[in-house]
Amino acid sequence: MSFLSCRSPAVVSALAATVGASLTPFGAFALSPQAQAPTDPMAPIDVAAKRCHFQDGSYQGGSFDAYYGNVQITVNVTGGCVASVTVDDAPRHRPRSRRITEEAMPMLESEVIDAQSGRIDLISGATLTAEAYIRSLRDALSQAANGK
Amino acid sequence: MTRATRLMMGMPITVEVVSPAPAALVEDVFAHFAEVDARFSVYKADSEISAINAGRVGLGEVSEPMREVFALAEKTRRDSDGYFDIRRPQGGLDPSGIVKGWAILNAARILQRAGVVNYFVDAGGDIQCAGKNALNEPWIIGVRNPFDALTVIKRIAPDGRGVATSGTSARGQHIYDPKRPERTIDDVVSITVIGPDVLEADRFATAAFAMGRAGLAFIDRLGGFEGYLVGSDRRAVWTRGFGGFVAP
Repeated sequence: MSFLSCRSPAVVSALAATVGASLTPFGAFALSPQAQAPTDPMAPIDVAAKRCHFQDGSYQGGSFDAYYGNVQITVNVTGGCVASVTVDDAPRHRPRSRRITEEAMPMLESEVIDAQSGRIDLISGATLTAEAYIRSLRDALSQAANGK
Repeated sequence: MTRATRLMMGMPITVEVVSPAPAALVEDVFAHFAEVDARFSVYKADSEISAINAGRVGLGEVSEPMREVFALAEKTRRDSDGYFDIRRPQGGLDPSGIVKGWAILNAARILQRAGVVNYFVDAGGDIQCAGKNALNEPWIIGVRNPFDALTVIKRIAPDGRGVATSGTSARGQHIYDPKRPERTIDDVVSITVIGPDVLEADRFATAAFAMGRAGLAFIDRLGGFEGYLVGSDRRAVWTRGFGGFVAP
């Protein structure tokens, strides 16, 4: 989703509206209520507000195309609350060999990631899967709301 | 400056040509992506790849672009020790993992052939840029924070090289265990690769991501490639030459 230049905060907000949700440290979706659009499958999902109004059980969302493969998730509801979300399918080529992993890792530097400021012309990152993830999650939550 | 974005192949594709460009040139680039999608989409029943997977077209009678992509896929399979493979477990072929980078590189070639020096082509976050931006500054690419789509965690100046990120912004955080929030999940969320061009960066980013953490060591050993890996523990690791591309 790097089609927007991020030279200004306004553009960053536009990006937020496009993505429809950001990911929080707690695994839930941050909400952007101002971007609610019921017909838009990418509209934000209000997991927190509805958190304990679901029917208990496991609900598998639809499988959605993330171009490199499909994404499919399952929402597990306990006591009316979303207890966990698991990913059943995500784009990832199946490992066929273990030889590379067995090779020694060189000493490489590491850091805790941190937001950077400064001029940017465009962004590299994988959000397609996030979109497919949100679509599948929305589908699963809709089932959970109705008890299937 | 001419800049246009279209939603194609399931992703936003942006083309920017810094000097004024004939509208037809940008249309040529998008037409190229439309052709690629029509030929290679496994989600289109009438695509050539679907015809091949359905057995309607034999492997001996595929088009020249298909032949080229198959050859690249086989090369990548060998280069990655089998981690990259377009053969699907359920049967059939899915070359999507290599088509994207290949299509971006060919789009860049369309611009180059037209004499364009300063441009970028960005398809879903995989990027080929060349020359300078409209302010005559080097192109700076932000690496998206996989945990927060609104921030970037690194700024890199690829200086004409290709940049591709493989991974998902939805991995890592999703399998949190509410009963054991302290649990560390040793998983790779994303890997960004800088390569000689976007095709090379893309095919090795895809392969490296499939390798997990060892994927970064794999990139480190390749000549002409650098990588930046983000784990689900929010720590990043990078190859020994990556620092040379970090924008000041």
